[in-house]
Amino acid sequence: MAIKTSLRIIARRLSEAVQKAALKQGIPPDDFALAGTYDEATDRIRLRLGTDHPVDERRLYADAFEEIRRAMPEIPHITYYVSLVIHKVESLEEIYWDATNFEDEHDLTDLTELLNRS
Amino acid sequence: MGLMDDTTLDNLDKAWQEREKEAKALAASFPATSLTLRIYALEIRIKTIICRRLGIDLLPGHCKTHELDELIIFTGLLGTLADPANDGIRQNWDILVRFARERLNQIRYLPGSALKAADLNEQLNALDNPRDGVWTWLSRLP
Repeated sequence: MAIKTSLRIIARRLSEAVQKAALKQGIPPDDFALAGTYDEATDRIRLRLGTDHPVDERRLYADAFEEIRRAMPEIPHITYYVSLVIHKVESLEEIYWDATNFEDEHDLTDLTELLNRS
Repeated sequence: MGLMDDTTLDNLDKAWQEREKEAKALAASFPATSLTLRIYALEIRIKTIICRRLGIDLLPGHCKTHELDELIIFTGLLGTLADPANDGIRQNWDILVRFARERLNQIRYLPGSALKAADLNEQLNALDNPRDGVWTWLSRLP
C-alpha cells in the first residue's frame, strides 16, 4: 500500500480536509484539535477530533469524509484506511491525552497539530 | 490457510447470542460489564458472518484477532462501510472500533463507575441506533 511511503503528505491532506469540513460547520481552527496515529501493521490512520464548539457530529463526520475523498482522488480507497472519532470535549487538550500505547503505531499528532495552528 | 477446529460456526453462533443475553441481564445493575459483553458479542457475531460469507464451518486462523477493523475485511463488508451512503454506520463503527481497541481492556481493571454515563450512551447508541447502529446494521444483513 502506498500509504506508508507518502504518510507525511497524506497526513497533511487529511488534516486540511478535516479543517475544511470543520469550517463548513462553522468551527474555526482554534476551536478544534485533531490528533492521530498511524498503525504500521495495518496501514491504518486513526484520527481523533475534539471540539468545544457546538457541533452536529453526524454532519461533521460526513463532511470530513467527503472532503477526504475529494482531497485524494488518486487513492480511491483512502477511506478504507482512515477512521475518525469525534469527541465533544471541555478542553481541547483532552484530545492529546490519548497517546498511542501500541507498538506498531506512530503518533501523527505533531503533523496534525501543526496544521491545526497554521 | 489454517482453520481453527476449536472455533466452529455453531459455537460462535451460540456464543454471541449468549453474550447478548448475559449483557441484557446485567444492563441495569452492571452497565459497564454489560457493555463489555456486548462488544464481545459484536466481535463473535462478526466472526460468524465471516464463516457464513466464506461458506465454511470453521473460523480461519487469520481471523484469530480481537481487532474489529481487521475482522471486517474478511466479512467483505468493508466496501459497504466505505460507501458515502453509509457514513452514519461508518461513524458508529469507528466509535466502536476505538472503544474495543483502546478502552475495553482498561475497563476490565476498573470499577464500573469509571465508565461515565455519556460514554456508555455513546457506545450503546453506536450499537443500537435504529437508523445506523452497527448492531442494527448487522441484524439487517441477509
